[in-house]
Amino acid sequence: MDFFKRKFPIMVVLFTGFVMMIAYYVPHAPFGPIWEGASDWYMIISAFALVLAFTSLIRTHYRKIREGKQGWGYSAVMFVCLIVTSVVGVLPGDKNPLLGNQAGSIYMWIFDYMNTPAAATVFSLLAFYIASAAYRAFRVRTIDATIMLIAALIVMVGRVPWGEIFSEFMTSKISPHLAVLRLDKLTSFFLNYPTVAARRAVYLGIALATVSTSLRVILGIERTYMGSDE
Amino acid sequence: MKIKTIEKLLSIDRRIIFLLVAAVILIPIIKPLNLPVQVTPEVLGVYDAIDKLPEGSKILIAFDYEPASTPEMDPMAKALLRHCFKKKLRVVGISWLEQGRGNADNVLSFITNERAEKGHPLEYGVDYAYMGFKPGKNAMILKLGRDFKGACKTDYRGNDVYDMPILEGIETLGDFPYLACLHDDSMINSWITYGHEVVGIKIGSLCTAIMAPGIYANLNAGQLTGIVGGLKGGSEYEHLLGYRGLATFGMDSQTLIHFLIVGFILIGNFAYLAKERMIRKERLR
Repeated sequence: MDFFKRKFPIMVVLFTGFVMMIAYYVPHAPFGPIWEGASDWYMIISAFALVLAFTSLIRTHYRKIREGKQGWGYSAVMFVCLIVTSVVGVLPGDKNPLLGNQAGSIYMWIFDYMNTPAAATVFSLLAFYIASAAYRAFRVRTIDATIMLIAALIVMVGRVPWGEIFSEFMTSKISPHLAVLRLDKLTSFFLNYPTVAARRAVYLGIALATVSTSLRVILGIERTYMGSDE
Repeated sequence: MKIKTIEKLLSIDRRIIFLLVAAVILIPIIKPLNLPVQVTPEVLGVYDAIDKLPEGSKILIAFDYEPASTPEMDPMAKALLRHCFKKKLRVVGISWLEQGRGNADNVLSFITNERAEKGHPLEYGVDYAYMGFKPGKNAMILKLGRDFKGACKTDYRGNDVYDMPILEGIETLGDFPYLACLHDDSMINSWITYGHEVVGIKIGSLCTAIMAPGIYANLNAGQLTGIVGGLKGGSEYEHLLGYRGLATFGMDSQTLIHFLIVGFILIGNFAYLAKERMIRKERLR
């Protein structure tokens, strides 16, 4: 039993990992067809992740309704929406234009007039919370916070038309020597140099961590994906 | 200033802040400010790359944004499509996000109807096509790089892609001269890693404002031709096309809200520093 539970999965991962690595660089037979087949499997499994999410959603909310937990009414609303959207979207729309997911169907009506406005509204509320948080929490408590605050102020003003007008006014009406302080140019500097430097460091860190974790999984050193022994 | 006044200022009711935010957003909607638009090199990078494509070229557009981002993304998606069809380019759409399918369908329908009303009808499968939602992300991009039609098989209407005239001559992803990626997440990284780096396709990013700073590293490395970021980028693209659309209209509100937030930060910090100074003085006494 231990062979199938512990050793066999490690062998499968080891074999698949190395074959896929070679196939990436050598697209010829036998690696090419293996790579093609494996990528098809990957796409099918990805699509099944949706099925898994669907099942998990149903189980979680069904339990909430059955046990009468706080907010079970929202779960009921979720069920109604889930059933209605799925039924009208999955049924073929070639005979009845209201069914299916083409333009003019009930599914697209729900998408256009319920899903999109609701999602956009929730996202738009961020403006209110950001403004409130900026007033209450964005403080010059440390040198780091002060640098971040100054950079944020420059970018916020430099990225909008009034900032550009103000910069233009400074250089053309006051002094051309003030060109170095143009907010739009300073914004561009912040985006092109400090941001890029920090981002590159993050990218390199992610890449190195991905390579080392992948190698640990392929070589069987990292085994947490198999779960515990119990 | 007395410490009580400062404390009052620091603990201002958040509903007042919310009201001010609502006011500065609504006022320009009721009475537009018609602010000028200045084009940045980043936006010009995308515009020029598309503008230089010869008539009849095929361009791939990835619709990778969710409904929550439509107010920011739809105006630039529409500007991009208007530009492509004005240049008589042939557009092929694709989505990695399930919900991107609905957005793509809406924007494509809107622009093709607009063209038809103006007397320039477009034929599906010849002038434009939409592959729909394709799962698999990285693996899918790699597969598109080896066999585009084999990876897609059918479009979102269920048509066989092998029969579509628009895909004649397209064997791999690399056969498209340009990819415009409309995204509100980090999907662009997959396109760069498995698209640009593997088959060499040129890519332009059209993204939400929050995503833009993160991809300047790719722009500087030459992996992107340009970035159209947020409403600001959208307004610049509209300006280059010679019209004032929803992105330009939205920039009025965005300008005011930026200045309001800057004002909030400055007032909040002046009050905070004044309070700290007073507390320090009290302690010294």
